[in-house]
Amino acid sequence: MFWQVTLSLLEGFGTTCLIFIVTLAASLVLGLLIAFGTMSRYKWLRAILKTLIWIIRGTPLMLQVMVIFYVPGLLFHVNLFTRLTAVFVAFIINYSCYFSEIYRGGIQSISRGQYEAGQVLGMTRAQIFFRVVLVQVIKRIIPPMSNEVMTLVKDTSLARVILVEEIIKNAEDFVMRGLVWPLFYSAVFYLVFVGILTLAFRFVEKRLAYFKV
Amino acid sequence: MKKFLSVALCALLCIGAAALPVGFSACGNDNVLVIGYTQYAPMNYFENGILTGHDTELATKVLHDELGYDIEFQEIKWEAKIIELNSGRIDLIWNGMTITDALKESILITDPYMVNKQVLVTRAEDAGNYTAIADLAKADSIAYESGSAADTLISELDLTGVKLNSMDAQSNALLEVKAGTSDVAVIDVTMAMSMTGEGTDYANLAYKDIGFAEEQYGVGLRKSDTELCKKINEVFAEFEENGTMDALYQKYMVK
Amino acid sequence: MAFLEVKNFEKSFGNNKVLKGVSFDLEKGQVLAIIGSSGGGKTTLLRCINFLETPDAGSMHLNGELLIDAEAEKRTRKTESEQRKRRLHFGLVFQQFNLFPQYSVLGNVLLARRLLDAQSVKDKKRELKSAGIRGKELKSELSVFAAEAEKRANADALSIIERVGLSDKLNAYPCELSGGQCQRVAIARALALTPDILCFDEPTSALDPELTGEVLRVIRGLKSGDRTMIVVTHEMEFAHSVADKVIFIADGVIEEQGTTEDVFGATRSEKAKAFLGSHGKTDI
Repeated sequence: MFWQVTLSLLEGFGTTCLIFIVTLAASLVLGLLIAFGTMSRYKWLRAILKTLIWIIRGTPLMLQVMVIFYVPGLLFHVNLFTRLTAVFVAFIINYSCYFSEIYRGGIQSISRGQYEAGQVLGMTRAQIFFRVVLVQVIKRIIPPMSNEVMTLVKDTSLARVILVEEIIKNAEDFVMRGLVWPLFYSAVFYLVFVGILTLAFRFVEKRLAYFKV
Repeated sequence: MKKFLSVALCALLCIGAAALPVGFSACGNDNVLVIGYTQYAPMNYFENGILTGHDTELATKVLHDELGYDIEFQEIKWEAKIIELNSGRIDLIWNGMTITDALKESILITDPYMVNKQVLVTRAEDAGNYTAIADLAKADSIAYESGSAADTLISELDLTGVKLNSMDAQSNALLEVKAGTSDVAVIDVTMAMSMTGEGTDYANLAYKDIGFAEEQYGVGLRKSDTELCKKINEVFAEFEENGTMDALYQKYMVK
Repeated sequence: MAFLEVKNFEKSFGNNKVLKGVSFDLEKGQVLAIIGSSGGGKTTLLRCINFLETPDAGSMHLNGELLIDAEAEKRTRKTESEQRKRRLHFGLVFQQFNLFPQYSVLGNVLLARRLLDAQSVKDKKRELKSAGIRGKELKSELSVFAAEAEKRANADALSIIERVGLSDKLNAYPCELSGGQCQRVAIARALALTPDILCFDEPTSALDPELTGEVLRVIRGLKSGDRTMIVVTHEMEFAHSVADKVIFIADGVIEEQGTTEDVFGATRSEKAKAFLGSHGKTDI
């Protein structure tokens, strides 16, 4: 029985990891683009993105998942995404917005002097950003990022509102059949995952400890 | 570089927009009927990894064997059943759904195919405390599934001072009672019969009829699907006549 | 025509007119000290010369080449490569050092040089390709070219770092250095690109008093036959001993300019007299 439960939970945990990895990879990139957009010199772009961020940060992720999944069908009678894709889309949009604010804070915390020093040394804007500013930004944003990333691990459980079979969903199925302990056993998987992430972040933090920003 | 990035951002949005038609084409094969269900013994449940149960078998017999549709079962959240149906994610709700006037307003419902009742579940030793509906007021807390028939019944009672625990599944209402976090649960008799008492995981729980009115189970469809509804009703009538309905009841409901 | 000619620079921030028509010129090999009280426009002038601010009006020639023409720049933005090209004529040492914290001393000095070398390797590749050289031959020629550039950059960086007296700190990071050492790294970093004119924006103002000496010594040591320097400073004694030419700015106007002897010895403007008096210049 224990192994049967473990196998089933592992299967769900695979989906959990998939949601986590796809969301993280896409949001890290999209978040940076949105961050640049919110600092753009084009007013309209800033306005659009600020509104988007306000909406996304101002509503529950669970609701966003449901909106992305159901609303196209309710309004236009077309179903855009499969259940899993809808989760990806909603999570990526949500986390990109949170990440973009973290990026923006990090980028704006770098002193003008760093940019000016790069400029007077004849570096291009891209060189200044990627060779000088980025590593400093990364060092600055690691603490808030690690918080957000660990929240993401646990937020994946929201996927079950549209019946994506992640670990909690599978555990609840056992409960439905009268077996209660798998629900609490599933915590072990999260704890192990977050434990590994904690170590990974500590490693990166150590790697960047050689300089002070 | 910012200019470049703004362009990149716009491009990304465009790609997203362009991807929509791909999404369109990926959805909705019209020949397949998608049946929404929740895991809910004895109506729809898994046994050795295979979905079975009264409603699973009935739906297969009616839609596939008699009417010739390809069918697919899709698990749903019970509280999202109407959204699932009206957004086209599923085509039928077939999951021991109690027919109510409120439901009739938003969806089309077939003729009833089974009669159900709400019963009270509590720890076996407390069962003596509850004999009538009014006795529910004695409980400190009541668990039931949100959006279920029990929910409707309970909301009509005056239960001031009683904590109402609205769960997302009937099984979680049972779990509440087992864990002692709720005193009693109100659930379908069909489920209570198969999931409580000797030989189940809820062996120390007992169910009791405290006089709730009978309810009828029906199949939910979109309001526009009148044609399909008619066909199903015809098959139901036939099944009542030839004893198929009764055989299924005996197979799943009577232990 | 003088080596550097600044004509009629004007600059406002909002309603605050910081430069009200500043003109001066400088010969090759001269050291210019810009003095004056805070908020007088010294730093803004230096930042305009280094293209960190765009003057609202005025022009600047270096070695006969027109580098800034405020009127023309209002109409057309410079492309990034034009901007970089003209910036490389100047080096700037900041008051706050602005070292790159994630690079070592050597890394700070080499970074910009390496990026320029990489660019020139790219240019070389294009040049060789258009000369019809392809494949293996192209590769080997390029790698030789790149290796030579790398070698030269390294050797130059090492000798520059030695000049500022930090040979024993090559691999140290800025956070491990004192303020004075940081500023010497910043000077080395600016020197590494061999600018035509090296500028200093109050290079000792952010330092503890006991650390200013080492930095001033290094700057003094840089003065040689053909190195042109502009120093914005509060160190009157230093200005007096190093500068060939002194400009006193107050309220966005040059109140006094001339040789060091003229400005310090025979001060004419009342404002300059008051300023020099309060800065203890008289007791040298």
